[in-house]
Amino acid sequence: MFGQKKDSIKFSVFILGFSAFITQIILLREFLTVLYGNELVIGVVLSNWMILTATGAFLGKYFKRFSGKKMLIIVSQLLLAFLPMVTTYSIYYLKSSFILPGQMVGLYETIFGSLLILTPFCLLSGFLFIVFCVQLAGLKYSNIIGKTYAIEAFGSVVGGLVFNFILLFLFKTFVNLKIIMLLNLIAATILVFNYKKNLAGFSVLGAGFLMAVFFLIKNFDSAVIQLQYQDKEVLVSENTPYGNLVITKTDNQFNFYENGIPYFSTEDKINVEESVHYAMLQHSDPKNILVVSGGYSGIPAEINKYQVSAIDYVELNPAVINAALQFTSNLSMIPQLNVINRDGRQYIRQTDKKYDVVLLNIPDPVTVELNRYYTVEFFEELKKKMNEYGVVSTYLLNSNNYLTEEAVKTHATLFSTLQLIFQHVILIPGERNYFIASDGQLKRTIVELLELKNLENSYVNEYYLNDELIISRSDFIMNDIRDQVRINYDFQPVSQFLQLKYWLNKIKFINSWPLIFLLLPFIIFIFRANKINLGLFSTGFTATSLEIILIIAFQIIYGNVYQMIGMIITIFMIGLATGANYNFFKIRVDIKIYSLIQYVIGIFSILVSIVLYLVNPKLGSIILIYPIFAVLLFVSGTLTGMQYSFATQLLNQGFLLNASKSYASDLFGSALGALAVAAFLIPALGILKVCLILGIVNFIVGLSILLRK
Amino acid sequence: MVSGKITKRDFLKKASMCIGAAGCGIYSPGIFPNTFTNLIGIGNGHLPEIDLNKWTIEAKYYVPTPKGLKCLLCPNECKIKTDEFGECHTRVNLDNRLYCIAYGNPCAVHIDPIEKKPLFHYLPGSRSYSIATAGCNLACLNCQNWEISQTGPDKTRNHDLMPDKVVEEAIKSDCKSIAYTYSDPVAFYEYAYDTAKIARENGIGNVLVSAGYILEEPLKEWCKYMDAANIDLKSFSNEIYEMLNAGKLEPVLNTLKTLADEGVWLEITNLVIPDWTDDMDMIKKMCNWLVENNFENYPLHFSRFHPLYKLTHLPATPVQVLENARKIAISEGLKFVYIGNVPGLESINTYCPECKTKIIERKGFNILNNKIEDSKCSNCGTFIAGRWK
Ligand code: SF4
Repeated sequence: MFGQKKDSIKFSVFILGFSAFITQIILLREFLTVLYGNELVIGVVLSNWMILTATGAFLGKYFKRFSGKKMLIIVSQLLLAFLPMVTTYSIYYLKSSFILPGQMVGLYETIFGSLLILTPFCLLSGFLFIVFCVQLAGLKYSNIIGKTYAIEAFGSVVGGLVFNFILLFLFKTFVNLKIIMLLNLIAATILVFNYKKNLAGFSVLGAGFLMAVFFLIKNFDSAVIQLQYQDKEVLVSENTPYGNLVITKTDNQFNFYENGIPYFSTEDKINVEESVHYAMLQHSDPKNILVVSGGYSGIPAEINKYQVSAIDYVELNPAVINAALQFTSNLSMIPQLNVINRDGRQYIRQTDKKYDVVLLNIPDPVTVELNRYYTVEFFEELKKKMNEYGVVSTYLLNSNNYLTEEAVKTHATLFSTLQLIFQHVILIPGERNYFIASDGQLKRTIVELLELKNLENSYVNEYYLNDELIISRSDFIMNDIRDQVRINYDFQPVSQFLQLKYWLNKIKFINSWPLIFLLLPFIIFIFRANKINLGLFSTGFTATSLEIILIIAFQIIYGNVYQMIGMIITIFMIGLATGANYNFFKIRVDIKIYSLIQYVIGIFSILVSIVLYLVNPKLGSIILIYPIFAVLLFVSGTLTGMQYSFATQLLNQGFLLNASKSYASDLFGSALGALAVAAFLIPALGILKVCLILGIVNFIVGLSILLRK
Repeated sequence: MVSGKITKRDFLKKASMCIGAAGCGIYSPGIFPNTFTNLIGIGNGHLPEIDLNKWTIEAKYYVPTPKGLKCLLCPNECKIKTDEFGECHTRVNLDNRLYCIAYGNPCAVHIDPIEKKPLFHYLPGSRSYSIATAGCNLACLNCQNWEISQTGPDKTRNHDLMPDKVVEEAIKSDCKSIAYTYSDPVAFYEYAYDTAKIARENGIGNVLVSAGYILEEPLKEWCKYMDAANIDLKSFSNEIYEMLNAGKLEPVLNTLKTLADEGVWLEITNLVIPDWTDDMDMIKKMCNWLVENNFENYPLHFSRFHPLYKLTHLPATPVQVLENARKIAISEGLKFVYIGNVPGLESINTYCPECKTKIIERKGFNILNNKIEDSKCSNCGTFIAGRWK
């Protein structure tokens, strides 16, 4: 199979795409268990990833200066085997060495820490891509960069599918990384047999295998747990599709961590009681109750104090439910309880049932995904599934002694958004600030309401609460938020943007220079790149932005369905591979065609905004959504791939430089997309406007390609 | 020192122009200077309007040094250059005089049950009029009130509540005391001092809820008007104090001694944070020190940690850990040890240290039963320390 040299290189390129993509998914997941999980942090990590890979590719142009080229390739492939493990381990090692126990990691640490951690792997993988291109070109293989790009994309597609649908479910993180290691070892072996069948080759390979033995026998997964949780008793540590789930036991208390954050501990009576009773007490005869997320903390048992007929509890992650069943009695012994493993929003849209009380236990809207549960569209959908005078409760986590400017705005936004849909909204300040909404009358006199029901509560009772004090604290907040009307929309996630500002304020991120530092490479690039590479940059930027937008839009319109997100990325990559590999119209590429495709990408971006605008209100037509998204993704991937292959045909600066610069340009653009679009532009401007901006950017770039000398 | 010198200067210039302009009620918060932060809009873009005459008072404790004014209020002993602020965000050097800009401008004003402070042996079942301005001389990673403690009064939305008005409001709302709380009263020392003086004249009690990070002389002066204090003894290790709170242990221990010597009713809170302050040997040492220094009659509250501010990656303290700490404290000889932040525990009741009778039965913040008569256990006559009436 690999008898020919070019096949062995092609296999290496495939493995490069395969390992790089899986490593990227794994590292991003691992970063999320130690970092703060908002889009800015994710954007920073992804962007660092791409900038470093681009730099690696750029350095690839110096490849020809090396004397022992073949050896270099083999050693690089071997390093590619081990670096993912070293990189992943170093995330935890550095965190435990430099961050105080339990402390949230700030933005500076995120920016520089991830840069440092990712440097070896990303530089190497970018460098190797170019090296493989050169090697294949040396074998007189035509249109080589486009083809290499396509093979790498194909490797990524396979990697993404294999990881998301198989490996993730079967093995722990480091076992998966060991599989990658073995694949790279195989690739290295094949290279040695094809290129370097001599003593030096075999010695390097032998050393590689020895190292592999060391890596294979060490249990890194438990070492990493040890670094994170030290002497704690860790009962569960599981990679689920929705993130990492860890359960520890400290004395008699079970602590549930999702992505490194302790979401819930047993013995937490205050939050459980508050999240149930403030809303339940408002309804005269609550029978059908819906709990969205968080029910495993003991909410159903509290609800059960009111003779209800049904409690439907929707939780996205089945692993959480299984763990709760295993370690707590919170979900057992309640016959009325019906647990549904679905995306909450999707369930609400599709169910035929109607509810008297809906309890939303959603973390603050720090990401667009969470923001979906705080929008006017969501409350509208929810209201359709509520009986007359039904009551809904949701909350924000701020202190109620004083609200910062951003917190005031977040509260005001939620309040006015609820007010658009429900006739009455009240705010009950507790350990968290609860927002209760209904078309029926609502009261803040909790103690008075308690007197009407005969409940035995440990915290929500007349001993801890006092109506007068509740009202005075509630008024204290209301005075600040009353006059501020802001509405949070699905496609215009105002609350998420406010949360981002709140967080930046919290971590005292008041100096902008690290961000300017981050933007600097882009600015330099834009001014220095030639027109072809500028086109690639713009396309990389657009493609990544559109991919992010389509993932977000899909989650909003359809729901967070793990398999679908995997599919979205895969379809995009298939488009990419297809576009890069084929010249559809069999045309001779010239600069006009190249500029034209830039315009097409621009038009396509605007088209995406129009389609999203049209699809969004027609939520009923779920069946149409799959093909629409599939087509959008495929086309955007294909256009990107095509432009890449056109660019490489147009560039004539000599092969090596050509390959290295075009790959770097594309990645640079993607990096800017990951950072600027997801973290700032979408929350600040909304999805539709961002699509329009993408359109305009491409028109300008298209024009400058035509005009620039 | 706090950065942002230019803004501070701008703010002060602007502020002096605005004398008399800011009316009563709430005024706008300040803004960070930075272009980027303006772009994404942290803060609201207005310069603060502060009436320097009204909400600013010359600091009581400082001396000039060649390196700037040295503040002598708390152990940080900041040396503050012209137009710069001290670490607590409330003290500023203006033309070589040190001013406190936290005076009559609290940003948090609430009425709380006194048990919520927590004070269990001081006017049980009463309400406390609770105020705080922005600013704090420590920087705890787990601060419950970081929104106000880690900033200054020039950046918060404040109320106009001069000392006499505070007392008036406290009386109106049927509060038996005024609590200087939430952030740390050391940061608004002069405001708390003047309010306490008027409150004392009007028969209203004064309660400090503080980390006790203050120098002896100003503290002694404060003690003249303070009736009770709940002091956070955050740990019993200097190293932890430095890493977790940006403070030191010794001054806090000194504060405890001074308060007791000056006759202020004292209760101590110890927050048990997993991985930080949950070492039972350290807790034992702390209790031992308390007993050796005659604090056994002052209540000790062990409080439950919840993930907050920057310590978001730690779970809540297990109740069992708090129970263990309580057992240790009792066996070391402390007479009144309580567990806070956990509803439904028996350990919020007061038991007679001699006959073990439940002399105060509490439920939540309410007193169900009080068997203390003339500061004595009604069953065996043992003296029960506290300010009961
Ligand atoms: S009170 Fe403020 S200015 Fe004075 S020493 Fe302490 S922190 Fe510094």
